[in-house]
Amino acid sequence: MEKKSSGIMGGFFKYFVMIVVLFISLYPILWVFISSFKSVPGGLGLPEEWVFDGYVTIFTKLNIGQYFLNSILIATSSTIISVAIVAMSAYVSARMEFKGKGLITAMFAVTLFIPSISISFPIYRLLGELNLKDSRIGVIFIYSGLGIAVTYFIIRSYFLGIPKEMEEAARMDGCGYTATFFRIIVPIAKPGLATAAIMVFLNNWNEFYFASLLLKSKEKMTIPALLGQFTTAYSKNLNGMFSAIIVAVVPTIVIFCLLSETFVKSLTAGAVKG
Amino acid sequence: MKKRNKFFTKKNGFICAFLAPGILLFLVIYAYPLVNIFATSFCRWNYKNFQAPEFLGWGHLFDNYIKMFTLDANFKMALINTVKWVVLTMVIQIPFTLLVALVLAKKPRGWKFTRNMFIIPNIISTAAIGLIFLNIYNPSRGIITEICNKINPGSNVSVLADGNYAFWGVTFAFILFGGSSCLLLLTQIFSIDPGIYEAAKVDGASAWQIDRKIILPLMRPMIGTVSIMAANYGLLLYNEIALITGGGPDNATFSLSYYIYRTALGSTKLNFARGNTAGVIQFILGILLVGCINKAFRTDQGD
Repeated sequence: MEKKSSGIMGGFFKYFVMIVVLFISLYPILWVFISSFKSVPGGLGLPEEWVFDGYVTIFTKLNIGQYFLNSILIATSSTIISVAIVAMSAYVSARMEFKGKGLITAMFAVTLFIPSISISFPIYRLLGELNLKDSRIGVIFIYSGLGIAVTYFIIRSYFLGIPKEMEEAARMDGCGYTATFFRIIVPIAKPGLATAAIMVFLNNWNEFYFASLLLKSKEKMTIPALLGQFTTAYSKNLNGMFSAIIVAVVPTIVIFCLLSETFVKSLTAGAVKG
Repeated sequence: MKKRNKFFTKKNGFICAFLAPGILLFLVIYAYPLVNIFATSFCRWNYKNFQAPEFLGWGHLFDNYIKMFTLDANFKMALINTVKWVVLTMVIQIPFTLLVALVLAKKPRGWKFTRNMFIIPNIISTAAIGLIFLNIYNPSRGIITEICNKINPGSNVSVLADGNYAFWGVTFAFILFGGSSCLLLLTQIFSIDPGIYEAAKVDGASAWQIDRKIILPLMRPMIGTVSIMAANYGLLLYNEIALITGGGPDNATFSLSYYIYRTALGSTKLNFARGNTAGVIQFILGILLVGCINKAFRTDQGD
């Protein structure tokens, strides 16, 4: 009752909530950002003297470019593989009639209930047997399979929305099944595929558990795995750690700010349609 | 004979070829490991016989489960903490996110900016978030100790040295970050036909009354969805623990995921069978959780 729509209380309350949200979302990152310029990082307040040692160290000694390259390589390949594989299954399940069709959707849905950490030991062992433990291929392989349920539902619902006439016309012109899929369906479904791909890429770019579990040699690590190292190995180089956090999160934040509407679409697609 | 020929059509070949990679991926990454953890949870399998698990025998079938629940203090701690984290996401994260969504839905100035900034902690790597909070809690360079000393001089609170504080330290490294859920809730609010509540507005209902009596009930399914996502996050919590506390102090911040990691992969006395047993428990808890929340919000998900 007190919060009558146009009352001062109502307006004040709204802005209070918004300020709280902005504070908890941004302050931790800002704190690290400001601290990274202090000669002794940490504490409240602004730096007395601005130093750039940390950034110099991570670009020269730590060779952070290599970690970015690993992350880009691993996240990009796993996203392409994952989206391609899921799109093929989703297309068949959205368009073809066959026995056990329901099983395909059930199969993808069931993966939602299988936590990757609870099954991580068999996966770890399997990769050991395939000699893929400390290798980027092994990580790409695992990442291709993570989160396939949401990808499947996003892509499938997009395929279901494409009019069947498109394919029928293509078939009339003598286009085979495979050619129809790649030449007609994929180009039409590009927005849906992109929505799914952004989400898969984001998850794989940020994935920490398997990256830290599997990648032991430094030259193969992704950015999150590198950050994990800082809890022990580099903890003496505080400037380096603070700068590394900033360098690790800034690209994501910048891209998000530039393409926020695209991201918003990707982040909502799974739950709204699935 | 005829039937057989019919099976090998071009269409069926296409279906098989297109489904094969997906099925293979499922079998290797999900089905095989799942069957494996179930099967080995009934085996003796640790660092002494790491080459091959050994079946416990029918008489001792549930030994791993019994030992884990009765003798393993770390598991007990992990289970209790995990239940607490699940409950806390439901009583802190969901109401908070819902409140933010209802406020932003009024589209006050800067609502879109606030919404987008709220998403940032969800889209940057949790490894970075973990590392940030590790530093925030650090007594010599962090700010919590400094702030506590300003309020109560000489208190020298060290968040990560005390089991109780450390638990809350981990909790606040993730629990308020509901940006993606907020986004989903907002989408749902905006999809409600304004005609539904225009009448109430004309009748003089306050914004708060409209929120509570009209909008909230209509949002039930989406609240169910985000509750499942949030509770699941609590159930699977790992990264924050691995980065901030390492399960400590004195194993006070173990979660189920962290227990599985430490038991099967990350200690010297590896006990693969028990790690997998805990994996089975986590899997079952996940299903129960989704079942309960679905029932509570009566949301029929999936298709």
